[in-house]
Amino acid sequence: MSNLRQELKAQIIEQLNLEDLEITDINDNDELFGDEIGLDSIDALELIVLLEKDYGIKITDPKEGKEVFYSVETMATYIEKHS
Amino acid sequence: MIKTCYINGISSLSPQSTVEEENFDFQQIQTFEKPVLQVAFKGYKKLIKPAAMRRMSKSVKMGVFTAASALIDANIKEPTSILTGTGMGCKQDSDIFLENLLLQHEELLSPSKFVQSTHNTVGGQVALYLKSKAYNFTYVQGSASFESALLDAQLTILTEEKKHQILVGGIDEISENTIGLLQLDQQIKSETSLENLKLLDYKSKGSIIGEGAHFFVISEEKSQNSYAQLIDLHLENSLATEEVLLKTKAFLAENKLAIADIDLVILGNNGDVDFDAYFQPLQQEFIEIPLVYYKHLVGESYTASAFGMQLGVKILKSQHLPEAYRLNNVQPQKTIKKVLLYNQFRGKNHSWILLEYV
Repeated sequence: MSNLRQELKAQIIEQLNLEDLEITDINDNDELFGDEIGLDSIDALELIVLLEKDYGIKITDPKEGKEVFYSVETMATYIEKHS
Repeated sequence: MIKTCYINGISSLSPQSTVEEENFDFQQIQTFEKPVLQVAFKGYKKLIKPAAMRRMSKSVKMGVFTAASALIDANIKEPTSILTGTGMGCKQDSDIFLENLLLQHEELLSPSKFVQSTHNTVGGQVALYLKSKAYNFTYVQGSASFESALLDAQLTILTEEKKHQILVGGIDEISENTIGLLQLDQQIKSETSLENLKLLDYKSKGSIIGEGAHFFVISEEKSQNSYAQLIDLHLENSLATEEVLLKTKAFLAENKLAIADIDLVILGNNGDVDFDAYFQPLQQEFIEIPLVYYKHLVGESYTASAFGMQLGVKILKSQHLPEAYRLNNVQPQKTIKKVLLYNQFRGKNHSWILLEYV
């Protein structure tokens, strides 16, 4: 597992108060907003803030956000491409 | 037909709750040696799913839990109104949001902390929990917040020609920031050694502070679980100490009662030497009946009177006068039928609540 993916999982758990989850509970390709992790619309806002605050990447197109935040893998790929 | 308000369900979280059990127990008294009395309860998972709880601050957890628990107690699934009173709202998340606002120069703020920092968050979260679209209103009126919500409940029942199951409660939480401000303002006692059970002995400025959530289900229909009737309540914003007795007599007279008709008085004494004088006229006037107080056990807060009301309805239902709550040694000579509560906060927001045995 790359450091970035590991780091993202830790940030998601901390920022979204997912107290019952450990880093090892989240797989790189798990669907963040599906049944596996179960995030909701407020979490999406938190992830947008997280991306801008910690990686300096601003997401303005909601359609783009849906693809970027699909999984930890898609988030990491997007960060690698844009930073 | 004159309608009556029955209290059919209750639930309380206070510094008297234990880690496992929410509602206070007359026998098991929690004692404190500090001026800040916090709720130790951890059993929220009994009623709130962990996924729903992850964004909830303490006041939201306390509020949602006691609201749900009061409905279960009343055997009601859908309230017709959700009325909440809070003096300070979701203070912990407000503090975090404002601190982040300063630290991050008003940019890139957590939306969760903003959403959770408003005063009506508890009422909103209760509605989300119950999937309720019922009338939902939050009263933020300082130390008259709970009474204002209760007044709305009473007026709704008395004026609307339909059946009601009204969920009404008072919620306030302590934050580190609040403690600092209240210490600066001498609203918290500064004694280095302090025992809460001796609160009235110190004769010094300030009090001990507390937090909690207390919900009631109120209806015009009596149920098998009815605790008491809410007969009336009255609020006065500002009074001199010598006016308290006159206002009390006037309130009783409006309800066709006199001093001699009251069987028990619950007072909001908090040990502040500057303001406990407001309770003296009633302590003297009602010298021959049992007097009860509660802030030595739960601390002062803007919605502490909601705990006082829970105490009143529990005493009416159980007919038991818990020793730790007694302000005098007078034993009840007959069934406790009419209970009068009087409270004030630093000389303001005087409230009277009249309860009756069912």
